[in-house]
Amino acid sequence: MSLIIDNLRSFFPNMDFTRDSTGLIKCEVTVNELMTIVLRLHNELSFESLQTISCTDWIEENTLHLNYILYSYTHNETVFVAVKIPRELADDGSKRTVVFIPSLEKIWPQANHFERELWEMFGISVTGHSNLKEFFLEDWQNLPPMRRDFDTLDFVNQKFDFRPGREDNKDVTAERKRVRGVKAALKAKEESNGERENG
Amino acid sequence: MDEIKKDIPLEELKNIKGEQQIVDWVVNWFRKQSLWVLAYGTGCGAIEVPPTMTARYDAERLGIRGAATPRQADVLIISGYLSYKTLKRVIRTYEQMQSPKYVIGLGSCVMNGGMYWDSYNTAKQLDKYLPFDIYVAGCMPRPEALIDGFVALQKQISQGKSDGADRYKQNIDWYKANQREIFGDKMLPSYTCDWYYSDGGLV
Ligand code: SF4
Repeated sequence: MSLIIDNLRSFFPNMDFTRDSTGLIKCEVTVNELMTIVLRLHNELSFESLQTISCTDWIEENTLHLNYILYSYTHNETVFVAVKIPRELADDGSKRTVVFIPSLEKIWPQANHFERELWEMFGISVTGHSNLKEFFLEDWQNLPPMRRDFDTLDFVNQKFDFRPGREDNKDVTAERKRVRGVKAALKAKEESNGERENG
Repeated sequence: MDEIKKDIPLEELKNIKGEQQIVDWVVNWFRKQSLWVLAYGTGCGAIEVPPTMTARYDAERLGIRGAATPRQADVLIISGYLSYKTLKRVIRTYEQMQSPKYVIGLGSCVMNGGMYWDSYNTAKQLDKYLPFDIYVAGCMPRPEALIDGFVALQKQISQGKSDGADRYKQNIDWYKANQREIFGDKMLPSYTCDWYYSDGGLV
């Protein structure tokens, strides 16, 4: 096993670090542990960079799967710190989750944007964030649009008109051939006319 | 001088009758020769505009140039999908532009939503909100297609058929009603379009 994994194991004896076939190191933590572990990874093991925070909505398992992707320039290693939170929404009408995740803005300033997007698109509640307001959307009233229980098609049909157009979805090859045939015939006729005039 | 002569189609000249028509024809001819395009990209189609303007395709040889602000521009290219956050800005930009003004729709997203037809945030039928003069089909259209669109626009202008701005002015109530439908009470401020209701700011 590589040096960095041994290092990680000695730092976090209770945690399970695995390396997958592509060389990424993965581990899973709870929301309460997240801040401490990420802070130690940053300060003591020199994972200097937060690359992104990804989120997947596993509606079947009723979880939102967050991945904090940390990169270390010193070791040239990537760590995925996974957090799973229940996807239930608070019933105060805010359309945000019951469980709060801590903001990592104090460690990595770029976390500000990542968390703001998660807050907006997946409806994840964030604590300690300095600028939690709409990012890409404007006047959004519905469920956060990236949640899988948000029915996009239904929303689109209600909100927008479609341009009326071809609905049959027919194969146009036959028609194209016919038009080409007509054109070729016309051209042939012109040419023969021209020959007659010349001759 | 010879070049200009070559440019003027004689058939068109023969149809001109009366003083007003002569003036119109001359004005349109001048307008067609210098189109200033607002440098504003909305969707992925914006990637195709810089090569059109720069050395490789060199649209400047056709009298097409970039303008920095809406008030100096004649042409607004809607280059791709429009989210309705952007739509709000685009409408405001369009209303700030001074006549003569033309709108080119670039790409299939502008016509019917394209591959974003089921996206929650992309306007589908844009000519409900803005008057279009030319559509350029494709996803995404090559610079050649865009230049072709410009040439078609120039032809339309020289024949006096590009009436987007007039349509917008005449049907302003219809356009505003459509816009209100999707913006709700977050409508654009009315001072950008007030003058449409009077006589073009002259009264
Ligand atoms: S038509 Fe295609 S290239 Fe143009 S904005 Fe839409 S998806 Fe992008």
